[in-house]
Amino acid sequence: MVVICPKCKVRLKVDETRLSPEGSRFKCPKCSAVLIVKKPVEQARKALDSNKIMVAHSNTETQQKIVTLLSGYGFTVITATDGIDVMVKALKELPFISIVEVALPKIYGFEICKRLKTRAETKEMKFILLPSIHDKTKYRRDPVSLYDADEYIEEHDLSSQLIAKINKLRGLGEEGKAGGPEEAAVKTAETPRTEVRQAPSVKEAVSPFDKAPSDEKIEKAKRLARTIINDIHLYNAAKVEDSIRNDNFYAVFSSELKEGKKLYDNRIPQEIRAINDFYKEAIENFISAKKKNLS
Amino acid sequence: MSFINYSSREINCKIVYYGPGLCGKTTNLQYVYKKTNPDQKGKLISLATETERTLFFDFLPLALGDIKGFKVRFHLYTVPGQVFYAASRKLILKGVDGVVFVADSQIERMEANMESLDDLKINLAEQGYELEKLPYTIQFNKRDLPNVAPVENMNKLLNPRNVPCFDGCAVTGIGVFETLKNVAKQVLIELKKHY
Repeated sequence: MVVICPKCKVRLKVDETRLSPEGSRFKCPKCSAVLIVKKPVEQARKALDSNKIMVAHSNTETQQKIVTLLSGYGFTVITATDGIDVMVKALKELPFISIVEVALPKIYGFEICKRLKTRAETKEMKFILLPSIHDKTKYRRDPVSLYDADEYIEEHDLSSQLIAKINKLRGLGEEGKAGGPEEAAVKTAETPRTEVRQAPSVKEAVSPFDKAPSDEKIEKAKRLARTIINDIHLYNAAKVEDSIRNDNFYAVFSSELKEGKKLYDNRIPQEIRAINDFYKEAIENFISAKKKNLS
Repeated sequence: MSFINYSSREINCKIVYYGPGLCGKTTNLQYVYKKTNPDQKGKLISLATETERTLFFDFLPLALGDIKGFKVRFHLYTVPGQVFYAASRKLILKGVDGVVFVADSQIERMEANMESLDDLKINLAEQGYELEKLPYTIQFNKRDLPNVAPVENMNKLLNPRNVPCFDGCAVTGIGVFETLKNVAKQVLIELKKHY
């Protein structure tokens, strides 16, 4: 994360992993001012507005329909029409829930969920995916994966189910807020008074494509891991669901998982694998999402 | 590379249908097989295991013409789509003359499409090929389903070079022959350059 020294305005890179929960002290190498820095996630919990909802849809008619519905229930609604707009507004406005069209122009809805969920300041944000095309009489099928979204709603169910889904997510969110809003993200106990900038600039938010090479590689590792696990499910849907119900997924699919791991190890460079076991993480995420769906 | 049989005066070309699991590669081939005149096609051979479904068949389409008195025979292959059968896919790509990338238009399969395209490039590179230099056509399949990504977005994601691409619904045959004809035409143009 980047911290700006309030005294000399120098930008300092701080390794988040070295920060203790109560905050760590740093001396500015340029002006020697003392800074106390806390992890940005603490700020995110404080900052998300539980009454604010973002509606992102490329069709203004559908967007308006949702806005009218939500306003009637007293929510503050902000809107966006493409993926970049969502990224910017999500970081600026910090809504508690974002309802995003799956095939949103510029950045797909599911991509947005993935990106915002990995950012400390929007990690707790909830997402409801809204498919772009649906013919309920002909083509009904459940999505195979919600990626990192929390809920899924089809357009024809908006008026009957949206509020219930939002309430459900807000309930979960309130649990997540256990730390309380009084929990300060930034402490400025030392003199001279210090200020820590933890929210990224708008420019930073606008350029989700301009990732550092290692970010790109990490993203690829995660994507490959997810594709492997999704493919196992795609070809063995019933068997996968049974094994998750019976808590023996790893045993039932040991050979497939082994094959997948071999490919993953073969394709993903050692330096990326050393950062985290994204393969295992994808499997765990898949199992927990499936468990949630099955229950 | 294409194989030339001088005694029977035939040129054999290999076209590989590539794409993520269950995107409709096999359905494309089955439709072509079903709709082709019996005199023009060979036997549809399926090399399948319990989970892997690789198909192979050859046929001789008259409409595709000949080069300097040599009849051109196309061998169409599909690869197993499941992501971790990379070794099989690499093997099938050996000697490829043209590639059809069948993309699944459903939003939830977009990652799998991207992964498969990367996999195609890696496997081609390992065989000494470059996708950019091969006859190559894309089909956006399953356009009849709900939750399909807009073509504009799919193009941006999967077709940055703007190669020929077709909407498809392989089950009903929409786009199947258009895709095949396009890649075959590109292969023939390449052949004419070399012979």
